Amino acid sequence: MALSNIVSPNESLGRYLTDKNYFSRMNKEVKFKAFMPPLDKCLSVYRIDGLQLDEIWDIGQNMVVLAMPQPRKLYGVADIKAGIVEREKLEIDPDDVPPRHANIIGWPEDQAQQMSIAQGLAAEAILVLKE
Amino acid sequence: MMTISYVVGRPNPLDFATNPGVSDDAEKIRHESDELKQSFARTISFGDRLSRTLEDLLKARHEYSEDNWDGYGARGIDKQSFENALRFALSLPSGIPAPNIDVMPSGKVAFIWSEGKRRVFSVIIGSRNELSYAGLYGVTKTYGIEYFNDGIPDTILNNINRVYS
Repeated sequence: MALSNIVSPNESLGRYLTDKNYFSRMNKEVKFKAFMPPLDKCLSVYRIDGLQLDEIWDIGQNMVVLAMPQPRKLYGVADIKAGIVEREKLEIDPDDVPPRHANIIGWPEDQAQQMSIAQGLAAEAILVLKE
Repeated sequence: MMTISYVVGRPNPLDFATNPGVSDDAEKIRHESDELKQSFARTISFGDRLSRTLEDLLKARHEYSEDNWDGYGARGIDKQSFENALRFALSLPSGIPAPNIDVMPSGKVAFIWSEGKRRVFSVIIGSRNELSYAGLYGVTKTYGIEYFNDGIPDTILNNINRVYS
């Protein structure tokens, strides 16, 4: 079933964790680094609402990790509600390329402000580890 | 008269065996030995924290040396940021807890102090001595930019202390 072009505030977005310093296994929390925007300021996420865990890992493995130029390990996913992203004055662009993909955009230029937003997102995100 | 001797094999090197005396000299020596213990304790604590921080910086330089370390297009560690980070680490006052060291997608080195995900303060060390900082204390947020010239600005030190207050 095709997803709506409008992302509802209650929808879960998944930021796939491909660096071991994106989370703390001991504290069971996502670190703000996972939400720091890349150079193009398009933070890649997937719309994972209603998916089973194995479907979430399939997307992570096939659409994220295998699509990367160098092999990466998929550690897990940071689950964040779309409404929290919007509360931070960011926008969600559900480009659906590949299917279910979206970008979190609208980041400020100022690195300190980016970090403050990323801290806010990390505080609200739920850590789901693969193993 | 009081004598102080270090007992070989005693687990804590600050733990001196004492032979208490009653004279003024004994009191003076007792006072000096207390000061020596405190000074030694500060030295050990400062040394441990600093050596751990420097070790973490070197680890980060190795771990994040290549571009695209996260697969999302992150930059490898910025050489100037790393050098400034070394200077920043050496300038941290001894009472400051050891930070976590990390490298951001921009390739810049970050120092992070946290007591849970809602109590965190982080500083990204720029290549031109700029310190981009952000803090989250419960629901209160702060962020801004300071410059690192003669020493670490008070704004940064106050925010680090706020994490643990």
